[in-house]
Parts: sequence; C-alpha cells; structure tokens
Amino acid sequence: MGDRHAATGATPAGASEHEQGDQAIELVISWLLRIGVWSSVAIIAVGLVMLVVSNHGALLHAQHGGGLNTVLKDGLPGEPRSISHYPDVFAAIGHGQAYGVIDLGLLVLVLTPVMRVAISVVAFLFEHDRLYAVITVIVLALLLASIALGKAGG
Amino acid sequence: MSPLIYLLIVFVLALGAGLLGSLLGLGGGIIVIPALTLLLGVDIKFAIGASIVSVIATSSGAAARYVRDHYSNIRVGMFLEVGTVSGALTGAFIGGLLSGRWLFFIFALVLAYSAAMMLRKRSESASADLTPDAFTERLRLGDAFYDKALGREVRYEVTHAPLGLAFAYVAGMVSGLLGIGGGAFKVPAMDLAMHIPIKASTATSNFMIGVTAAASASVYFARGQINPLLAAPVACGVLLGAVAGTQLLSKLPASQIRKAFFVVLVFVSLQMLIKGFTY
Repeated sequence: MGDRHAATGATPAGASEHEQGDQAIELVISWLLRIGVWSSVAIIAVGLVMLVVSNHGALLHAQHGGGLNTVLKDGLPGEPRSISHYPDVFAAIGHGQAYGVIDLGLLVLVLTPVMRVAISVVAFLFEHDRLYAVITVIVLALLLASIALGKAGG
Repeated sequence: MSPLIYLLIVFVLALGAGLLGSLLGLGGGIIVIPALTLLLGVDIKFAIGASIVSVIATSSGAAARYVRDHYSNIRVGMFLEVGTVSGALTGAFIGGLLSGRWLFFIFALVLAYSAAMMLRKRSESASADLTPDAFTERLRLGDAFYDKALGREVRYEVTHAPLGLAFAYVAGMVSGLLGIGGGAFKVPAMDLAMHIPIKASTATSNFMIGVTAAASASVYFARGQINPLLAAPVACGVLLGAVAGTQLLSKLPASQIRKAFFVVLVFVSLQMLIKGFTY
C-alpha cells in the first residue's frame, strides 16, 4: 500500500476515471504555471540586460540627490516615462526600448494565473460540473474586467 | 549613487525578502515593501506595484508544486476567489485614492497581525464527521488528500462557506490595498471559518493568491504604478530568493527563525507606523 502512494503521492487507491482526468489536468496546470513564471522572468531578464547595454551611460552616472525614488520617477533617457496602456508596451518594444520588454515580461506574469483560471473552466466543463464552470467563469470575468481597466484608463 | 547600484541593491534586498518569506511562510510582499520604503525611501505606491508582481511569481511557482500533490482544494479556491478577486478590485481602487500615509498605517496593522499569526499554535481542525450547512453542502467543497507526514488519506468536510467568502473578500481587499499576497488572511478564512485542515488551507491559499494578485496588478498597471525599473529586479529577486528558500527549508531551524522574526516584524510594524505619522 505504501508503494503506490509513495509513487504518485496523490491519487488514492482505486482512482476513478474522473480522478485520473483530474490528475491529468492538474499536471497540465502545474506545467503551465511553471512555464508562465519562468518565461516571464526570462523576458524580464532580457529587458534588464537591454537596459544595461543600451543605457549604461545613464545607469552609471551618479544621481544628484533624490535617491532611488527620483530615478524611478524620472525614468532613464531613451525610455518612456511610464507605460500604462497595453498597446504602448508593444510600441516600446518596436522602438527597441528595454522598458517595453520588461513590461512584456510583467504582462506574461500577470496573465499566467488568468490562463490558469481559463483552463479550470474547461476542466470543470470536461467533468460536467456546471456549477463550478459557472463559478470559475465569474472569476475569469472579474479578472478580465480588471484587465479591461487597463485598456480604458490610465 | 548610480541607478545601476540601486538596481543591484534592490535585487539583493528582493533576494533576501524572497528567502525569508519562503522560510517563514510569509510571502515576499510583507518584507519587500518595508525594505524598499524604509531603507531606500521608495514611494510606497511603486513598492506596492513591484511587490504584487513578485507575489504572482512566487505563488504561481508554489501553486505548481501543490497542485501536483493534490493538497489544494480547487473548488474551495475557485469559490473563494469570487470573494478575493472582488475584494482585490475594491482594495486596489481604494488604494489609488488613499494617500501614502494611510497605506503605511494599514501596512503597520497588517504587519502586527502577521506577527501575531506567526506565534499562533496551529492545531488540526479536520473532521470527516463535520456536517456542512445546507448552502455549503450544495457547493460540494469537501475533499481528501494524502498526508505524507501522517501516512494516510485525510478526508474532510467543509462548512460555513458564506462566512469563508466574507473573510475572503477582506483578504482580497488587503491584498489589493497593500500589494501583498494576503495569505495571513486567506488561510484563517479556510482554516478557522470553514474547518479545512491546515495543509489544504495553505496549499489552496497559495493557489488563490496568484489569481487575486493578477487582478490587483492589472489595476496598478493601468495607473502606471508598476515601474519597470523597480518591478524587474524585485520580481526576479523575490522569485529566486523564494526558490532558494525552499531548498534550505529543511536544513534550518524554522521555529528559531520564527521567534526571531516575530521581533523583527513588530519592530518593522512600528517603523511603518512612524513613517505614516511623518508622511
């Protein structure tokens, strides 16, 4: 008895087809979460490298008082002061601006849990669990509403 | 100091925050935001924006592990997320209206609460023979997981779903206001209100935190509150620190660290309070 549990660590003995389907979806979710996180970090890292390479003059130049906060508010030469609309992210990348790449990485990171919720909708439908498909759609709708705020305002 | 040096300092601070957070089960935000605001004088709103991004990274990484082990209760998580995400949107919206002073005050309160939570002795609250109320029954929230430490399967029922939802809303609001994960509020929602065993509560909380943070992050982004120069090193640092922390977890005396950190948290809470007064 110990062996089977040690091997899978999850599904109890005599798992039904449903539970095995559950497990498959959980593996997919787990895999996608990790891909989302690490690819976003990779993109962010690329952006940071771009920042150092294209801006090393400004980066090494000491600031005259004000500290980190001033640097954050003023931004760096050649970079947009701030990006708060999604299309601007891609425009910035088009101009070869490091901030655009960093923001892209950040967006991928933010979308990772959203993607996870979307997959759960499918998973619940697959299990014919209408109640939870609806609950999950509500969560997804709330998430998409918060993203839409980004398109509308700024 | 040059921006490059600042970048490096922020990265190192974030590494430390991620490391400590994962050792203490606290989450990087609680550590990173005071570090940035108190030590480097960063605007608290930028710190919050950077922190929330790191919260998504660490919680998604942890959730990836927990999901495989089947400790998380997806139904409980999804149900409560209706609460946490609504709360997060409310909190993020309000946070935009409040001046930094109030954010410091609220943060000080949350830190004090987290410190108290760290001392709390956890006792198992699972009961397979618990009878759920009618509403909760219809939600089919009961579940089971295989507890490796106990060496057997643990089945549990869940109750008081509406109360849990209310707690979840508050947890979401705190997360949206302060840019933290809010696990300190989410876990009791499940553990105390809904009688979910602590291992399942913690795992499910982890899964919920990332989703809640994504909602807040979207609002912050629209406000230009996520500064790439700050968010980038923080996100990378906290994630890497947290990963390192999980490797070290078994090798370090957790209870000693917790006791020491209780003192630190109380001290930092006072510092944030002072910062609020002198804002």
